[in-house]
Amino acid sequence: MKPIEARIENFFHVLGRRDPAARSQIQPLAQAVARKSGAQAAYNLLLRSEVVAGWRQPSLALYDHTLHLIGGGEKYGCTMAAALQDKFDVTLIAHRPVTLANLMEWYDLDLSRCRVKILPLDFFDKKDQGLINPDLVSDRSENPFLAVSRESGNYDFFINNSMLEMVFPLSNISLFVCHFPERRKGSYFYVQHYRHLIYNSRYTAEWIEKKWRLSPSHHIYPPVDMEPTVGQILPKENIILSVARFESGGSKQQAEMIAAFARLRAKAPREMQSWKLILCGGSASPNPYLEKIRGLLKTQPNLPVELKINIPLNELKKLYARSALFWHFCGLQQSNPAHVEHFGMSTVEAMQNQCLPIVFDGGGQREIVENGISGYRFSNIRQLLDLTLQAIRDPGQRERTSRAAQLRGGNFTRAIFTEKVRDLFGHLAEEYASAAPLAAPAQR
Amino acid sequence: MDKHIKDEIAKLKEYFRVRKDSAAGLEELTGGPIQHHFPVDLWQLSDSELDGEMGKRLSFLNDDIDCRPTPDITSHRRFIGPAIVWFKKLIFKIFRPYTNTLFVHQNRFNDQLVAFHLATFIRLRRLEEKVRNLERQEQEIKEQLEDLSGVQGSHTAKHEAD
Repeated sequence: MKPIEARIENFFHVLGRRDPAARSQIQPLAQAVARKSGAQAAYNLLLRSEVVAGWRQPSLALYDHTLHLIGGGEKYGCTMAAALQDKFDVTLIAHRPVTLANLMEWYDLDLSRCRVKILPLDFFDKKDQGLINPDLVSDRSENPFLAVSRESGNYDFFINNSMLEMVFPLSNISLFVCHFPERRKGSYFYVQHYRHLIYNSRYTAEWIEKKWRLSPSHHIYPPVDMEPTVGQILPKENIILSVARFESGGSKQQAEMIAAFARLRAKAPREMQSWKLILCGGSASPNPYLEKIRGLLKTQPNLPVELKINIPLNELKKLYARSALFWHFCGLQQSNPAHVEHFGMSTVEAMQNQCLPIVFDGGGQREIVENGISGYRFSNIRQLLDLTLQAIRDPGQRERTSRAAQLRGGNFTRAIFTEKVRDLFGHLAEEYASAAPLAAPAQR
Repeated sequence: MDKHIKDEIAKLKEYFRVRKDSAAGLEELTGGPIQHHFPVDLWQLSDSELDGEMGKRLSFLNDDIDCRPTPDITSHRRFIGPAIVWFKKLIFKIFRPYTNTLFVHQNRFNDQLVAFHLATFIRLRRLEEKVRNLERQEQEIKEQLEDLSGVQGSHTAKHEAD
């Protein structure tokens, strides 16, 4: 008897040629596979045989436990789904109610050929105001994400876009999208079982290796689509802009920005007279950090700082178009690598609008801003103040660097993301529909 | 040929779908052992990760304060099973006052210990916040001093030139 892998390969060859011999092989082969590797492996063999025979296109599930919330990671996943919906039968798996119409509106995407499946998780409904918080899971409890693992086994391809390492993949082809390895290897850690590991920045890749001792396989930067159309280009005003969520822990450091802006005005009162700082970002309510910021501003009523909370997209676009400078502090004086920007989508958005970035020198920002060419990076507040004053004092240089920033920002567009995703999945689908054995996962 | 094999595959798919849906866990589904837990090396954790770990462990300790046994009494015997369960529960009930006296002291100790740990944890957090503020102030003072010495240097140079 030939080894089972050779029998599978032969079966797919025969099936691909529409040879009647395939019929006599299928049942004993499926039973042999089930005996050796379990019922799921036999089911997977049958799933793949339908694609090899050309009877249907491959099915693909994209899972995100926070799909019902607006966020950068969710946008990444949905843009992936939009790119793949013509070649795959795409299902988006969520835990809380969300519709395709919501997703299409939030991310300005066409997802009309996808479907959404809601998979309730009782475990979290009883705890912590129903938040799906993976930190509540430990070896003392059963794995609540087992339901997602089981569901993953019903598709040819499964993408885990959740950074949830507790989902064991059961599909033929599995991909784990890592936006950052936030948790260490602990209870129910299954990332090593995924066939492919996609990462959003080299910074993330570095920490995947350090924290999980795994080698990520495919690098795809997030899609950023804030490029202005012809009618959206506006003259620049003396505005320093910050676009970052008002995190309850203050990790985006808006309070530090206010303090730095006050110091800047004290240092160069004449030059700074016409400049203002606009802090823009999303916030949940209630948010104690946002209240702290409001309190800070009340104590300094003469400081020209404006808050823009949860503004609509078109207003944000106008702000980017009008602002001359962009500040991003995330990561400054942080010891936890998870609190440093993993990529920095808002920095790219600013750059695409010729808004000169002056950002913290760390994390994914180093991959976006080429210091002194397409923006500036600082390590401490003193450097930030010097670089900002330099940019304010020399409008000619500022304009040249802003134009270089816009060119650089063009490297992270949705079109480039879509092309990379289609390229990767095109290869995977081709391999999957052939009789050849699937490539083994990268050595980890 | 297509129709026959398509039907055969559909039939087999249904058969294995039922089998996989009835599988108890991942091992049964995949037909092999799986490592579910990796020990956490506390020395490898950053300060904020340790902070999270401390909070999590403290909440586990809090859940386990009451150490009185609450065994789940069951029996797999078909006919005499219910009688065995009833008898075991009765024995357990009879001895409960004696076992409870033994555990009362332990429970009180656990309670105090968890409260003590929580107090230490809160103090540690407050101290860390103070240290962070002091470090920030120190940095600001240093930078302001540097600014001042720069300004003073340029004034001295100007005087000398005059």
